[in-house]
Amino acid sequence: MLNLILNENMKIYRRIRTWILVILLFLIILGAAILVYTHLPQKDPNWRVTLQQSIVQNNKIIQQGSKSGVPANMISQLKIQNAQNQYQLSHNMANPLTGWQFSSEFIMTGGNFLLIVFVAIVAGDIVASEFSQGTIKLLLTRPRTRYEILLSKFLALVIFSFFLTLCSVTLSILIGFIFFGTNGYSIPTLIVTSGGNIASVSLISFFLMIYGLNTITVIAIASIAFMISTIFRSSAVAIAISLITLFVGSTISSLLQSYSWDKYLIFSNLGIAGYLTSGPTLPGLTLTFSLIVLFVYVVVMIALSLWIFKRRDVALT
Amino acid sequence: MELQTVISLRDLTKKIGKKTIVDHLSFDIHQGEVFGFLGPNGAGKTTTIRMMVGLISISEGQVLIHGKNIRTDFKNAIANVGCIVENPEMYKYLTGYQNLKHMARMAKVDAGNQIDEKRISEVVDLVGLGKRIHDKVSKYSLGMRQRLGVAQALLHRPSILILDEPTNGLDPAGIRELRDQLRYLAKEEKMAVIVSSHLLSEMELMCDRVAIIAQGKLVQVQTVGQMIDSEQEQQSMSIEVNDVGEALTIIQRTCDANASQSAEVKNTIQFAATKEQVATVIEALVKQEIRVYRVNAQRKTLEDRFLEITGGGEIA
Ligand SMILES: Nc1ncnc2c1ncn2[C@@H]1O[C@H](COP(=O)(O)OP(=O)(O)OP(=O)(O)O)[C@@H](O)[C@H]1O
Ligand SMILES: [Mg+2]
Repeated sequence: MLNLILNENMKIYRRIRTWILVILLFLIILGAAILVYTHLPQKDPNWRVTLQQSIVQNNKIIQQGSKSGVPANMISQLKIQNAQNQYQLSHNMANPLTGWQFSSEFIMTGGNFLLIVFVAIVAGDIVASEFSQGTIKLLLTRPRTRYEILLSKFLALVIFSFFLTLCSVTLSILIGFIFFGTNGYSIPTLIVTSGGNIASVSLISFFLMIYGLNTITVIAIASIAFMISTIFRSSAVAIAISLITLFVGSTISSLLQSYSWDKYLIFSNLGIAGYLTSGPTLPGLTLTFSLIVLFVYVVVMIALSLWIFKRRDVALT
Repeated sequence: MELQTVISLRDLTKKIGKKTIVDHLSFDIHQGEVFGFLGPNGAGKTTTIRMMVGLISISEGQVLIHGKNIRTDFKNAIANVGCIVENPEMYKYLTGYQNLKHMARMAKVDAGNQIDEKRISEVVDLVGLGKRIHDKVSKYSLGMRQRLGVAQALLHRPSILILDEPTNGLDPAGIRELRDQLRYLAKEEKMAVIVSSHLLSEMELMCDRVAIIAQGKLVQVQTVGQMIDSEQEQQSMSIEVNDVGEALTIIQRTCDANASQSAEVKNTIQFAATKEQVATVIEALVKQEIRVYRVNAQRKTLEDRFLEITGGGEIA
């Protein structure tokens, strides 16, 4: 099995396409940094007043709270914002954005979608391209079961998800350091706990959590692309369907909010990294619940892919 | 010499819907022979090969490779086989060498049959790819891809080599080289080599035995020698003499009443005769003091037999 995974890795990393994706990732992070840098609020002399005002306003909303129908995750966000503003005031920091914050902001706002799209491109192609190139015959006429062949492809895909995540962390931290400096390691990072309270965690564990959870979302979407790729043997269809799931999914989920089974849909459970920064999107969702739901979906999709791949007549079109 | 059977087909059948594409094929293939599947387009050759290597399911019957059933004991059965099904497709964005490395990693893992770098350069030398092995496959010509295909099929030292239409697209020199190579592998390396083709003259030169398949059914299995000249069979002859009139009477009397004077070649008579009858005719002519300048046998090729057997160029 290890040999098969080595093969799949060779086929991923020896392809120019993979490195184009990495370069694209680099360019987009660079572009984001330039954009943020040029739009930094320029030395507001009254920044202390502005922050204090915003704290007062936020507190008002928090106090009215659930009575006035403000969603729970909004309130959590405001609480975090207040705590951060407070920290800024007491440490006399006019500008809170540093290289570290740039990296975590990047992955929470856009970078996550980027990783998903890139991994889906590879996932949608990994089975389909063997069929379109005819090389599937090389794989299936050697002493390996079809289960082994397909599983090695899936595992290579999981490894690729981590690889791309790692690229993204390193690149965004490095570029962040260059543009926004290396300070800020000690700025408290705050997360929403499962009870809805605010807790402070170390920067390292914060990074591990948001990037880790995001990778799980990436793998879940990649599994959709992988399954479609196996069933329809078309990378275009696989990539399209998995990305539609990603972009239309959250809308479908909120449209179906009134049904009790809404939370069991895969769409409702994809935003797990966001649970840390602003809490769950639907009442009744918890991080553990979503992780279990995603795990079950992935297992079912891979099992279905295996079942179909095992029975497929190769050729006779 | 005892012939060891390496592959047996037993009532091998493929049905798709109501259509039977391969219909109860049964025959054995032996060690050390080049065995041909011969049939017109759509006869079911590729379908048969795909079943033999486990690419498609078998509707009925079985394929035994060294006694192991391809369906129930796939890993052990297929470990003996190297194959190219239809075109030699490889990963174009990898080099030839990386492709071989990929195939080496797919081989059966056991201590006795390690495929190391030495083995890879051995097969590269055998197929004559030389330095080009480090080029990307996207830069290869069809002939080079065919060589790489043969290299990957031989990599794990299989006892059986299966090639579907191996001469497709090769130039005459390439065909000749491949043919010599396949004959070498069968004779010297004692492999069983299975090829399919509709290039009939090609099979005649390449194969020891041929299975003729038409519309999914086995028509017959024969050695190439048997097919070309069988003792009892009449061949068409032409004979050049000084006295056509006299000779024609003698030939019509002694063997072929339908003998006739050739319209195209002067002083030549055409007739049909078996080997023995030819001797009788010549003896009779010489006795009558007719001078015989030339006797030609229009040797029947596999092609004639093939068209005869399959009923012409009808496509299934
Ligand atoms: N999916 C399918 N459904 C029904 N019939 C099919 C299917 N695929 C192939 N066939 C039929 O199976 C028959 C055998 O095809 P096969 O490719 O085995 O022939 P072949 O002998 O290899 O021909 P060729 O010399 O053209 O390569 C053909 O008549 C073809 O039309
Ligand atoms: Mg064919």
